[in-house]
Amino acid sequence: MSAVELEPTAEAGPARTARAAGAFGRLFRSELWLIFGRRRNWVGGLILASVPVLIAVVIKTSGAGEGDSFVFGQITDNGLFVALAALTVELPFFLPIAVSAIAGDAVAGEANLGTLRYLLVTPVDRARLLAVKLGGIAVFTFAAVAVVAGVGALIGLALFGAGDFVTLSGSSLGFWAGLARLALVCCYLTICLVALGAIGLFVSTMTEQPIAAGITVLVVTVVSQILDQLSQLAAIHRFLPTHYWLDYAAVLRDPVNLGDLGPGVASAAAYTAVFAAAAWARFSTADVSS
Amino acid sequence: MSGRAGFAHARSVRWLLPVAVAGAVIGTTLLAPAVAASVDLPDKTAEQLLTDLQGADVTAVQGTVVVDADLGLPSLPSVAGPHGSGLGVADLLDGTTTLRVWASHDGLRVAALGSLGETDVVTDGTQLWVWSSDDSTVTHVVPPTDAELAAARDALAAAHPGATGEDTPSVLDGAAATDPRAALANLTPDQLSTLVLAALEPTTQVTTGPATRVAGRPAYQLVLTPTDPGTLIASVTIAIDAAERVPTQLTVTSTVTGEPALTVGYTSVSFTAPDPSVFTFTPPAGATVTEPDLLSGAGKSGAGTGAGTGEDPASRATPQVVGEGWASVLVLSGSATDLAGAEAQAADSADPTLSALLTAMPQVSGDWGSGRLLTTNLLSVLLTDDGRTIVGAVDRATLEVAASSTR
Repeated sequence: MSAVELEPTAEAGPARTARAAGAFGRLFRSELWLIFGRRRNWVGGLILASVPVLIAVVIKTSGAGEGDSFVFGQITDNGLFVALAALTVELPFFLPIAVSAIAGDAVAGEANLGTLRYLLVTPVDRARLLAVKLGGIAVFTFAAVAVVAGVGALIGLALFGAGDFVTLSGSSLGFWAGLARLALVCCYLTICLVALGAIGLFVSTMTEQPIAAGITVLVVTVVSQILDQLSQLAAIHRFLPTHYWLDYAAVLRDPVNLGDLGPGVASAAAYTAVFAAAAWARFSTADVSS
Repeated sequence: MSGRAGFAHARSVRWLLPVAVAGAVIGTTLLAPAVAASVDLPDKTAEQLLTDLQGADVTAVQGTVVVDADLGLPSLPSVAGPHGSGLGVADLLDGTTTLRVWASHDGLRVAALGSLGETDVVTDGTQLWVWSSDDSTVTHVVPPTDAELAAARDALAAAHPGATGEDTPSVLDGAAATDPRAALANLTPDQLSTLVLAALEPTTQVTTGPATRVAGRPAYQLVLTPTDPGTLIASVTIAIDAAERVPTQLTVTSTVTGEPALTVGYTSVSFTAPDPSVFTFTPPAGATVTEPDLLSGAGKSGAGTGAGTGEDPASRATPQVVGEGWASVLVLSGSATDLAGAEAQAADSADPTLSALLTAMPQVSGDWGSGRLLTTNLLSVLLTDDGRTIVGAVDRATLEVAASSTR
């Protein structure tokens, strides 16, 4: 049994707080470096970014189809809709894959590589390490969403220009108002996906196999989406982690009612809180031997 | 030994945190509505509630309305709209539809919200717009001017000397026999309530239900229970906002299931005037705009399905009411399109719901002839092969009796 020490050595109050804050900052920076310095994560980002490029090029060459949904139909009038179309397409599967891979890797990856025990020897408070890991997942999630939206917006504007931003309600907004709506969609989707990341963080503390953890989260996502389609299970739909994801449509209506995003944000916050707490309960007492 | 036991204890104690967080979340979602539902309102009789309704002074409203229908239609193959935004007819009849509503002196706007789709009806009193995001189409309706109306009326009178305007039957027919309007105008709200109750008395039991909350606001409930046998309506419950005295929810319970088959009500509501800008609409660039010509019947878009169906009131089916009260049945006979024609037309038309529905309706026959029957939890429809359409909130037997009597 080689459980490492759980608490850092006691120190005087303010000095300790300052040192802890500095240590937290260093740890967070190193975590971001770990995520964004990895070549495989860059490849993942490229795959995410390829979807909006594909959509834009296909629609540019062959035009919008007859049966296309509203978001796709608007692309030829306003390039920003490439970003929305890409987010809509990647939301059910591609974005969850990216988040599950990173979240599953968070703790299990370190354990798998054998770096976790060195990390804890430093010594680092385990709750703080988890907070850093969750923060890293959140930053990565936002980056993934922003890459899809950003690449989509850039190539869309380049190929189709910036016309009126037509809302689902049929009103037309200016370019900057449309861009603000797109940014709001990105923020909402980030909040939803971070909840998935928290589930992944919890699973990641249960195993030393990052792949297993990532796949588990992906399975949770897919099963949740399937259950959400079954009308017989309507009673439990609002408890499913993916149920409110498509509510970002509320941002595209006019007049906009941000209260419609409330249930989705509350659901995501609840999932994040429950699974971050569960990850803490598991990890803070786990035997770390690798 | 004791150290290990203590460690295990610390381990299990830590799990209390996630369990507590999860418990708090589930507790608030499940218990909060129950706690919020308890209301304390002074008791009111049905008569007082009817009087309240007349005293309502609401000039504006904005809010979210949810239509929850469980009509028990025959299960159809996938009938979601072509783009799956969940705004098809089928969703309105069997499922949940969310509407956003704005209304004031300045106009009216109703938006049906789908997932990534929206259908809006907007009017500012002078013109009407219908916007559908699924196919980016706009229908713009401008009422004809008085001169145009007069010209059309003259043309119609020349073609059909016998045709006159229809009298709309009043609910209070018979109660105030001679000149209903003048008589009603002289009544106090109290007297009118008594009159309404007396008129309902033979067919309906009017009671009050327990106080409730609609859209978070305390509300009284008025319950109408039909006493007619044969009707599919077990009861109609109207929730009346305690503060503003306007109906905020309607629930129709079916005798078939014993459960609400149709619930229409606000989930959030405010009685403040909306910004007048919501009543204006400018078709977005790239949208297809059609402007139907109301006086010639068919739209400029050419969507009208040919001669004789819409423009000529005299050739239309003449409605006939059989039976009384809640069990009354509407018979449309001499319909221009016979059943086979309707089926062919539905198969041709772009609406997959209608053709699927028609083919899903079972063939029935009796001493009245034969046809197709649709029974739902609230409404039954009989389409006879000789071209009659018989509709009522009644069971099959009552429909067939009406079919025999109008043969």
